[in-house]
Amino acid sequence: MNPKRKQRLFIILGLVSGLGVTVGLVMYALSQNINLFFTPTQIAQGDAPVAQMIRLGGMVADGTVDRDPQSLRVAFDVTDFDHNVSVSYEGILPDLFREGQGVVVQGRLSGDQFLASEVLAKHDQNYMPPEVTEALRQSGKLDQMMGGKNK
Amino acid sequence: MRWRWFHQWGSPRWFYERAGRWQLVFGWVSLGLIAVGTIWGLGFAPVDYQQGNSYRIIYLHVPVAFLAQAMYAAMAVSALVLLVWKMKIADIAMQSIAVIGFTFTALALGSGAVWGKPTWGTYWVWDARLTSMLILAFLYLALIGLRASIRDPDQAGKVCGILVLVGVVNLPIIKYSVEWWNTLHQPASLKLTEKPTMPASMWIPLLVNILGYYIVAAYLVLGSMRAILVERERRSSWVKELVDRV
Amino acid sequence: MFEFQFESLTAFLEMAPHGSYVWPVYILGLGVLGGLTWVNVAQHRRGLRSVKRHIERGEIHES
Repeated sequence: MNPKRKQRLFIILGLVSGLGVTVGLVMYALSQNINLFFTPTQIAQGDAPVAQMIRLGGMVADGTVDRDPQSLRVAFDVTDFDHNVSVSYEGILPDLFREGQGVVVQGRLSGDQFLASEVLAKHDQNYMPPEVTEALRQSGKLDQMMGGKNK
Repeated sequence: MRWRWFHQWGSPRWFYERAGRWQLVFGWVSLGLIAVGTIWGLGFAPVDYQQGNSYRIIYLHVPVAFLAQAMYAAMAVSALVLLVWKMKIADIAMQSIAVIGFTFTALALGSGAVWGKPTWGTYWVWDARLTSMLILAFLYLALIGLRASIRDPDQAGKVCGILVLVGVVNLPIIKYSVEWWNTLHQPASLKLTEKPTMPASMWIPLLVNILGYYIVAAYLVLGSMRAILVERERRSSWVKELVDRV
Repeated sequence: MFEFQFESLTAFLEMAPHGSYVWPVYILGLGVLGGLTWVNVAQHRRGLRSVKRHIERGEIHES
C-alpha cells in the first residue's frame, strides 16, 4: 500500500471510530428513553412517571389472572420476581397471553393499579415442538431450560 | 505480488467476466438451497409449542434480516476500498448493494410485522431493535436518493461512501439492541458462539435458508454490478468487443 | 425429522390458524427475489443493446 493510501485509510478509520464513540456516549446517556418498558422494580422505586402513558414489562405472575366472565375485563399481576404490579385491562389479549408469559403492557399508573390500554405478548428465543415441551414438563426440566424464568 | 489479485478484481473487464461465471454458479446453488430450506421449514419442521405455525415466518424473516445487515457491512467495505484506493468497481458495488440491501431490509421489516401481529398482538412497536432496523432502511434509501441527486459519478461515489461509513455505527446498535435495552423483540436464537435455543429439526432448515439467502444476495449483487458496469463503461473498447462477440 | 407435519395438502395450505400470515410473506418475499433477478437481466440487456445501437450508428457515420 502506498503512503498516501495508508494515510487515507487511517484518517477514515479514525473518523469512523470517533463517530462510534460519540454515538455510543449519546446512546448511553439516552438509555433510559430507549428502553421500551419499565420493570415492576423500577415502578416500585418510583422511577416511572405517574398518570402518564408508559409501558410496563415482565412476566404474568402465576395464579393471578382473573377474567371477568361477563366481559373482556381481565386483571393480572406483572412480576419481575422482586416486585409485582397489578394490571387491569379490558380488550382482546394476544394468543400468547398466559401465566408465566412475558408481556409488555401500555397504560398508566393510577395509585397502585396499572390501567392498561394495550397488552402485547413478548416471546423468548426458545422454540420447541409441543411433544418436547410436554416431555420436559413431565421431567420437571422445563423451568431449567427457560433459564429459571418461569418459576 | 500480494496485491495483484486485488487490483485484478478492480479491472472492469476482468470483473465482468469472472463475476459472470460466479453468478451462474451462485444462482443455481441458491435456488436449490432456498427451495430445500423453505419447503423443509414450511412443511417438515415441527410446529412451535407456543406460536404454532406462525413461527414458520422465521425461515424467511431471519435470513433477510441477517442479509440486511451483512450487506450493509459489505457496502461499508466497498466504501472503504473506494475512498482509499479509488477503485471504480467498489463504487459500483456500493450502488448495487444499496438497492438490494434496501429491498432485503424492507422484507425483514414487512415479514417481521406480519409475524408480530399473531405473536405479540401488534404489527409495530417502537422498540430499539425495530427502530434501529427502520433507521437501516432509511440509510439505504438515503444512499439511493443521494446518488440519484448527484450527477457526477465520482462525486456521488465519494459522498455516498462517507455516508455509508457514518452509518456503520448503526450495525452494532441493531445487533446488541436486544441485549442493551428492554425490547419487545426477543434475543437471537441462532448464535455463532452458543448452542441454538431450538431443536435441530428447526434450526437446520433455517441454516440452509440463511446460506441460500447469502448466496442469492451475492448472485443479485453481482448481476446488478455487471449491468451497471456495461452502462458506465459503454464507451470503452472492451464493452464494444463484448457486444461484437454476441 | 423428515416427516410431513400436516395431515393433507389442504391442511398445509390452510396452515391453521396462521396461513393468512405465513403464505403472503413467502409469496411476497420470493416474488421480490424473482423480481430483482428480472430487473438485473433487463437492465443488462438494455445496456448491451444501447451499446450495439451506438456502434451501428457510429459505423454508418464512418462509411
